[in-house]
Amino acid sequence: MTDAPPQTIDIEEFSRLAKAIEAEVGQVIVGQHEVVRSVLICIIAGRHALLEGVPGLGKTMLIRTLSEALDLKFSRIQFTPDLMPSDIIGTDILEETEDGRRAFRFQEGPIFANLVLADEINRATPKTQSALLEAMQEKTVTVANRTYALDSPFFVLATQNPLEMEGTYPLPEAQLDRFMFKVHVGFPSTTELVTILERTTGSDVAAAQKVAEGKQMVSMGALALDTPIASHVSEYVARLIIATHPENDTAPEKVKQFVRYGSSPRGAQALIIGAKVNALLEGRFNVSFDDVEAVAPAALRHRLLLNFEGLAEGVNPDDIIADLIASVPKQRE
Amino acid sequence: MASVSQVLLKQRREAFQVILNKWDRRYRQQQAVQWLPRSVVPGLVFGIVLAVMSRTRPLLLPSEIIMATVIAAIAGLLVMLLAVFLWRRPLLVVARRFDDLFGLQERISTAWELTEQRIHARFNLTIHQLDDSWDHARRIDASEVLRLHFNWKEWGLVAALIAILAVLLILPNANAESILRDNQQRATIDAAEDNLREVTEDVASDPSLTSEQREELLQTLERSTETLQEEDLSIEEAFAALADAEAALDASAQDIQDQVNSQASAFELAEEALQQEAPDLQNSQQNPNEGNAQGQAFQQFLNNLAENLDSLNQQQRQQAANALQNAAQALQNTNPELAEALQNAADALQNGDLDQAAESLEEAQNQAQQAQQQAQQQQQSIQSLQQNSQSIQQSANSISQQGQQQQGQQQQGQQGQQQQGQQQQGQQGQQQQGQQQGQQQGQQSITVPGEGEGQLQQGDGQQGNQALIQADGGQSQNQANSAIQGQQNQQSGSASSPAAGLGAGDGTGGDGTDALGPAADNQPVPQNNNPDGQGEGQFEQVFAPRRVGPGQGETQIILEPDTSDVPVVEGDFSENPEGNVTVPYSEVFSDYSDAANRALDQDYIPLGLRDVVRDYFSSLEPGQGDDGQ
Repeated sequence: MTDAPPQTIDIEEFSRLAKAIEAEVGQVIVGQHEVVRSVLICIIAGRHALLEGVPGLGKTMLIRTLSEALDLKFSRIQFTPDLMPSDIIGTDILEETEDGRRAFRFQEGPIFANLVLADEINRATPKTQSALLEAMQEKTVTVANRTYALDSPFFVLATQNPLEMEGTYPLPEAQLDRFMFKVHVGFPSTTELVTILERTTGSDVAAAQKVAEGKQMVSMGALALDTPIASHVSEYVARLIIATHPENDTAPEKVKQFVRYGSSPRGAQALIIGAKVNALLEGRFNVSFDDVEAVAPAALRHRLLLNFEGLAEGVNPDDIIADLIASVPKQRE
Repeated sequence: MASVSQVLLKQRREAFQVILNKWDRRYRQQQAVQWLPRSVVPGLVFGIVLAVMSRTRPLLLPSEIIMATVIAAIAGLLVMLLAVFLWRRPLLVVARRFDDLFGLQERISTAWELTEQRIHARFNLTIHQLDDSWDHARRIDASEVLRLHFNWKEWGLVAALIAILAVLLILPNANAESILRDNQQRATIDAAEDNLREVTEDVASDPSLTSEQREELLQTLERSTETLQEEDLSIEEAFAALADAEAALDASAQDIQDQVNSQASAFELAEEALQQEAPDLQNSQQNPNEGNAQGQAFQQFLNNLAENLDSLNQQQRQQAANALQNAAQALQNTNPELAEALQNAADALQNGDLDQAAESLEEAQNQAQQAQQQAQQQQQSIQSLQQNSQSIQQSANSISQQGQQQQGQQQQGQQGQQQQGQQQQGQQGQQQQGQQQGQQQGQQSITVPGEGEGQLQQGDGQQGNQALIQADGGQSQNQANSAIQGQQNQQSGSASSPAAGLGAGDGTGGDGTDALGPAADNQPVPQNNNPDGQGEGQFEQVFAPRRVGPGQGETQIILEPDTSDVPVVEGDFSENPEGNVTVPYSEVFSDYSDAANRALDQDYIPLGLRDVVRDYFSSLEPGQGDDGQ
């Protein structure tokens, strides 16, 4: 057993907070439980999430609600083709001091927040998109040879519209890989839609209340990372990742046919971390195969690079992932 | 903290170990029940395959198939039970299995790895995990989840296979009888082989045999033994191998007997010479012609001569020298050492060298004593060889009876009730063995003439029901040679051959309707069948087996009875009171020769014996030596 770090949160508090956050978000967001759970997993794990869905499904609302419930500093960046990196990370500006001299002062961009909403991230140019790379991975930004640390916690929750491809710039693989999950935001059901209409077409607009703080999220993440995972489950994750590579013998037929390049080790990390958080959210203190399978689509779908055949035939990566899960043995004995 | 955590982990580990072992036992029980029908299926299928194969060719008896099936089924069951209950698995593997079976979502395996410290976590998280896993594990009712489920479909399959096997075993199988016969035949041959080995050991350890005799005999016996060891050996071949061994033993015994006889004759001549030349020196109390005293008389003479050398006058010395010289000449061929000693003694006597004569006489006495001892050993060897020959003959008879019984069974299966009745008559005749009833309806077609006490064969009286040649309406001739010769009276003997059990007596021969069936009986018949008609002499036993064995079919020779009730020979026998032959020999011979040729043409005679039969009849052809008339 590792020596426990300074205990800031216990299991009961974790469960209570997680339930409270989900409940509070549920006050505003109708349905979308899996989306909420996936985003919450990313936040607890201290990773970033990419939400993909058609406009009007509440992606922005979800992220804003989370920021309210978690009492995090929230900033929203609407990505447009003419958005510049400095518009995101900030820039040095020349200003006159009180004594009349002129000096450069760093003007922080909107990325200096706890929860950054990169709305329609695929509309910005790759250059601008790349401005997020350092921030997402290192949680720092560098401007004019000066590196500025971002606040903790720091989450980037990006959205993109899968339909309007004109004038968009698909995210580069390196950028995609930095998102722990790619969450599909589906269309609500009829019942959910009715509820949405009831909530949003009246005079009373629901608003989330603060139920947790950012530091608590960090503590929750630290606790989740300590969740024990049996060796054969870890081995299963490794086999799953290896099987995403078409050149590997254990790869299923769909992978060999439609995948150009499989998941990186970040995918395995995302799987295990996501599974750990999911296990705790499920009230369990160990990772099971079910946890892995639950987070596998979100963790892997943006890490499978389809080949021309896969793109031409419009293969859904989720189908490939389902095939992967079905074909890779769990080898319990 | 560390020690506390260690103790806690150890306690939890032991608790998990107990519950895992409990689950594992239940799991093994469930697996045993589940695999029970499957484990016996291969055995049953094996039995069915055997049963089917046994119906297509002679392979196994139903009882053997049942035994093989039961053994295979039990073997499958044991393998299954051993695999289920003795196949040890690590508890971690067991924990993973029950995580899966009980839907515990890897709780137990994670807890086990935590307690084994294969993986690590915060202490409080570890405790939570172990508590959570224990709570879930305690709620598992293994007997409820792991029910002993009887798969009735699989048991139905087992029942169906058993039913199929039972039907296959119950339905008549023509090959079963053949298998039985083959097994009995093999057992008989094996017994004969064992007997032959014992005889071989006896021969190998017989000190009285010369190395050449022993070598020759051992080669023959080993050759016969190897023949008996061959697979798919027919009864005829087995019998022929035994007959070879028996003949070799008899020949050796005869050789030794000849040596003994010649030695005895030489001694007799020597004694006669001594008696004629020096009657004064003969021991009056010793009769040299009394059987075994021959050698002793000779020695006594030498002893007397040696003791009285000093008291002999010149004439007596000359007589003794002549006597010794004659005796030496008589013994020159059979015992040159003794002859030389006698010659030396004679020379010394003639030269007047009494000391030398005494020494030579003593030497001669020793040589004579050795010769006597050697003769005794040879007698013992002869007895041993005869006993061995008899033993082999008994084995051969057993094989012969085996073959005849098999043929009888085949006949029973193929003949009607009438034939059965005839066989019963034969059995009755067997029961009446020794009663020597000349009126019995002879089922015995061939008998071997007894030779008195020297005959080795013993009648076992089981041949009465085995003859194939029937002489309806007539009295059977009990001796084949008498049938050929037309002699009416049988010889009686104190001992009879095996085939003579029914006929060696005072029975009268048939009146012209006698049957001769040299190929119809499996008993030894005389090869040198006394063609001179004297009814005396040494007979070489030759086996003329009936064709037996699978696939040969039944062969029965039935001679047409003479229903005309007309005598073959009519006339006034008062004119021929001495019973001289009135039918020309050539006519009699042609009848029998034709019968023999027909038997040869119709394959009644085994291939190996046809030359014997041909030679025999060739030797009887008119003008070939003694015509026997």
